[in-house]
Amino acid sequence: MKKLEFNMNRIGHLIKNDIQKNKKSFLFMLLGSFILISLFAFMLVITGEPHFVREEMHMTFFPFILFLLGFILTSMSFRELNETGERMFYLNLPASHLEKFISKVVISFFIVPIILYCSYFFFALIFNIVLSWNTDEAIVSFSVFKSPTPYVPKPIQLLPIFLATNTVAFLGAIMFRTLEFFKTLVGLMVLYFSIFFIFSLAMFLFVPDFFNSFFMGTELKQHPSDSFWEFFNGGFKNLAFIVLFLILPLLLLVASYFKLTEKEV
Amino acid sequence: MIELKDISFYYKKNKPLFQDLNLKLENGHIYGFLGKNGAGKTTIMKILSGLLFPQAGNCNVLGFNPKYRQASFLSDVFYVAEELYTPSITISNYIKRYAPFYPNFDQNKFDQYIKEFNVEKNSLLTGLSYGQKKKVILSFGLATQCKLLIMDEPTNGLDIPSKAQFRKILAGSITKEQTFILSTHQVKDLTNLIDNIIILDQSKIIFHENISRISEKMYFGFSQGLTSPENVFYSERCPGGYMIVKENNGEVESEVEIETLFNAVIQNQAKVQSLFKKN
Repeated sequence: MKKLEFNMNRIGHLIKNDIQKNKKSFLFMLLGSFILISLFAFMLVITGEPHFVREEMHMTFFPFILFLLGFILTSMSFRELNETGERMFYLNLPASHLEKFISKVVISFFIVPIILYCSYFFFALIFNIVLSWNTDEAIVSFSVFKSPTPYVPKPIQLLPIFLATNTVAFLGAIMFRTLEFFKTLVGLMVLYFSIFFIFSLAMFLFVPDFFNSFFMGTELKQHPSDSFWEFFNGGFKNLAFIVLFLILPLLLLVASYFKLTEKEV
Repeated sequence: MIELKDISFYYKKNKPLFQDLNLKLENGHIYGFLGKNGAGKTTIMKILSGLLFPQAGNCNVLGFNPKYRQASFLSDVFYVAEELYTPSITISNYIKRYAPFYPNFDQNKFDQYIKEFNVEKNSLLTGLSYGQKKKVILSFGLATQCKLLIMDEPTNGLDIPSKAQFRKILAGSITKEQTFILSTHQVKDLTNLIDNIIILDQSKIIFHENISRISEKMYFGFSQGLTSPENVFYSERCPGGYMIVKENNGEVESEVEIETLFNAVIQNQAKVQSLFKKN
């Protein structure tokens, strides 16, 4: 009879080992990204376009760092399963599937985003100090709760989107043995397009000229009932939010867990 | 105790590797799995350690079903694979990282084994030769004091003195609660080590006997000529005569020559099996 085993000590050891094993590559990726961003930003300042750098840069580049690095790191989180020898070692390491799964979830969904937020905060601080060395002009500092314009989401608001997207990368990390990042990226695109297609199809069925109106700015000729719009703007949005940011990610995590339990060599 | 009951396993659906395979192993023994390439030795070992899942049948290893890979099962099983994984860290860091997963890990024993194998404890694992890496992993496996130690080609890559050292360490470390399973092509390396021989051929266990019963039933020796070849299970030309395996008809018990036994069983399967069926 199968017994669900859960031991915090073992999870702690798994997380510690994982961090020790991957810290160098993570640090290099982070430093490389910051160097690239700095070079790009200084180039903009030199070429006479400092406005973007002073006011919007951090809010634009932070999502890039969070999504790209987070996605790459998560899609590589089960690298142990790629090479046969290491795969055997990892699968035979005395920890239950649940413990191994939780340790990876903690790293990919908690530790990595927190480190990315913190490291970007310190990068922005140093960058701003260096940039404002010879100028009196203020530079908009980076804050996870601040947005430069009302149209740009606050960095903290990106977190649910990142976490939901990250579940796709997590499943991809377990499923694919080679080129995990690119295959997962394709998977993510397929998922987005599928969602978009289902949504479009549904809208087309209820409001045939919805897209004409949305993209061309024309007026809707076939008005659905008020109760439809009420549902669309209220219940549907809530439902979509729950499905996309809660149910679907949870299903993907459950699928990842079972995929891990099915792994053989 | 380990028991495989009616196990069926295939890599490709139309080509089964095992069908209705049965195997029972007792504690306190060192089992040697012998077989040609592709006979299924490694597959059985992987099934026992939970790395492969049989498509049918029951598998009971130390009271667990290995396919669930429960932590309490894994902490009592150590698999030394032929394809070794060694991270880029020192041996002492390896111990720090992975020993906590094995509640019965004995640091003193590990130090003793590593010393006997002549490996420097502060060496970087990735900087070691294949043979040295194997010594470290074998020492680690033995120091975990797990109930089931599975070793796939453990003597591959070991030099001649290390093979003797390996036999000495293994024979000296087994307890009544433990079971060791080894597979090798280099059968001579297992002389005086294993006490049970399991021979696999064409995906079947065709021979499973205790060494003392083998030496009681079979005679391994030298003969200048083959006077009555029909009584001989296997013969092999050697300088001055033949190495032969035949039924032990009251001769003095001889030392089991594993390689000759293997050839005898493969060539004269039915005859050997009927010999062991006799009381």
